[in-house]
Amino acid sequence: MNQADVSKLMSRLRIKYKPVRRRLKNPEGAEGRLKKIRKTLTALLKHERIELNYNRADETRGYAERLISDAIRYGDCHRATMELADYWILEKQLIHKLFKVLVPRFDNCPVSYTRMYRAPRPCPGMYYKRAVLELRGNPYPPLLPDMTANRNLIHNVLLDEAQKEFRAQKYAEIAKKLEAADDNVIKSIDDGDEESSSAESSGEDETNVLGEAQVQQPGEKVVHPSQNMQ
Amino acid sequence: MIFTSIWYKTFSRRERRNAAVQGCAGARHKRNLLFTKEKKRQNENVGRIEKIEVQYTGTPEDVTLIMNKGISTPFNCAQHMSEMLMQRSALALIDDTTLWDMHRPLEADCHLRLLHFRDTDPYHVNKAFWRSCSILLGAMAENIFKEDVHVELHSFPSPNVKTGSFVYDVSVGLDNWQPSQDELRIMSSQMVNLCQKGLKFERLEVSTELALDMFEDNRYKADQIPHIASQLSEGKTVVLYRVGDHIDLSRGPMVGDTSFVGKCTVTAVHKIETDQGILYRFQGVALPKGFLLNHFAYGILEDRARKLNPGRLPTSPSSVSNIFQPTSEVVSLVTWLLQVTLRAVGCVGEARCVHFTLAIKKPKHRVLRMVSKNDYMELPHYGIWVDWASNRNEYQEYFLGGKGGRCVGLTALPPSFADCLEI
Repeated sequence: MNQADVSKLMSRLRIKYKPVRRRLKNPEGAEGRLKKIRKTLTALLKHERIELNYNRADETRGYAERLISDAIRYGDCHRATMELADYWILEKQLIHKLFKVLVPRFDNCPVSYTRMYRAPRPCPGMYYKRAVLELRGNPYPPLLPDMTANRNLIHNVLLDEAQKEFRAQKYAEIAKKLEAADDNVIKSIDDGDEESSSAESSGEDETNVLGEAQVQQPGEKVVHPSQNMQ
Repeated sequence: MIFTSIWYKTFSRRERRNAAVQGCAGARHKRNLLFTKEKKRQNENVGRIEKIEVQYTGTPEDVTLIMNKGISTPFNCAQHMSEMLMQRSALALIDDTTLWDMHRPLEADCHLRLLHFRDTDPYHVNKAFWRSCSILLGAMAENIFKEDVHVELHSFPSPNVKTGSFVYDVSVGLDNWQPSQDELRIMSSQMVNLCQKGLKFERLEVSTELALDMFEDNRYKADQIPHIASQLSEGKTVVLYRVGDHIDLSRGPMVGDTSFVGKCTVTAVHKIETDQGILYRFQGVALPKGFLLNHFAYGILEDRARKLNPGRLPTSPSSVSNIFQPTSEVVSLVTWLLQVTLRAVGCVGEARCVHFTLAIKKPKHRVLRMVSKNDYMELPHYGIWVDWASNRNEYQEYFLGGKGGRCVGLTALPPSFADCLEI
């Protein structure tokens, strides 16, 4: 009951990550692993797009996400965050970039701050899988082909035509509604005229007058709301 | 359920094949034998191998290839150049004018371009894709019913991607059939199965007699064949396509093989009443492989494809007798008019009237005039000139930026002219 909600205390990552850490095999053991990750993270912040082995990229990605999200959450006046940044970033001028460039860039970002792609391997070549890791909003041209700008591609042709048809259908509906409203207004005006004329003619036929009064009511209902709006 | 899915589950492939040969599908077996035989004969007729020079332009680099005349195809050229080209090229363009199937042998020295679905303007590839999907739909419709339901394929209207669905008109021996959702789903899955097999589209030009022999069991096709042959400039031949064991009449071109089809749905079957009795219009929608669309957007496309396709309804060839045959003087006059018009709007380049697509029904209107949509609505939708006629507006939109209904069949214009014609 009284326990703190852990998910509120910690920054929540927007990527999928493995619950078990990778050991990133190296002679220095756990410390060497951290050193590797620090190097990669620094390079990521510096170059914004790097190509490397898949495991190392995936491992670093979580740390980068966490660092950026903490920087956004606590800002540069928070001692713990500053120490964290100082530990993970090897080239110290990049700490300024983190707080002055990346934090404003990702301030209202609803998705993850980094993207990762599988990179091709030369065949025959190394066994290891390769990956491209990048920060979102980097200045380089996009890696994936742009499928939206070219409206001649088949799916865009189909979607555009569907949109046109939908619009035409909606316009037809609106036009029909307007016509109906116009008819009602005209009818009510006509009824009003006839009523006044029949009143002038001193109500010779009572049933006729009653019938017109009944017809007039829906017409009035249509007119009233618009008067209220005005 | 009227489908043969249980039949498929119960029997092995060999049993099915034997049963099919004895039963109703004997006609198809015979058709395939004739096709194979004719193809073999044509291959042997090539004789002594001659070399041709093919100049390829495009990615990854421009090269000149020495290929075999009458044997090598654009696909073989792609095999020499790059795996990427092999996988993505759906259609070839010869000498910047003629669209060529990937598996059709080259006949002379030529310039070659390979087209794919992500070109800056993939208009022709999209169209070929839509046509291929129509044929596959026909293949599926012919196979899916039980043996006791008599199915005859009629034809399909000229493919138009903008209508939102590809179509095949089929005569089914059932009264008031309305497919349930499950049946549509089964049809879709059968079509997906067909696509995943990666079957090649084989093109073959055969004589009218042989085609008539092949399609003797199908009265609609047998009617259409002489008519189609009379429309071709050479006269006595028609073009057949085979995919798997399904053979159909079409002018083509088609995409390379069925594996280009990715996401694919059979959306609706509408009953239509025509001159030739009651037919069923099968409709579907598909996307090429690698075109990922989220399910919501694809759902919109599916919903649209459920509405009856506005493509031309089929009619019998005999009802179309009054076909306007332009004399050479008229052609030259129109060419001149065209050139004057183009010059007036400031276009640099060359234009000539290549084919007439003017089709006039009433004799009193037998003068050159603007063709309204109603004039060609009642022509049959197969064969050579009809394909062009129905595309006229589409082409016009494509080349001239959509000035509705004014141009006379500017049809076989090479795409390289598109730039100079853009107004």
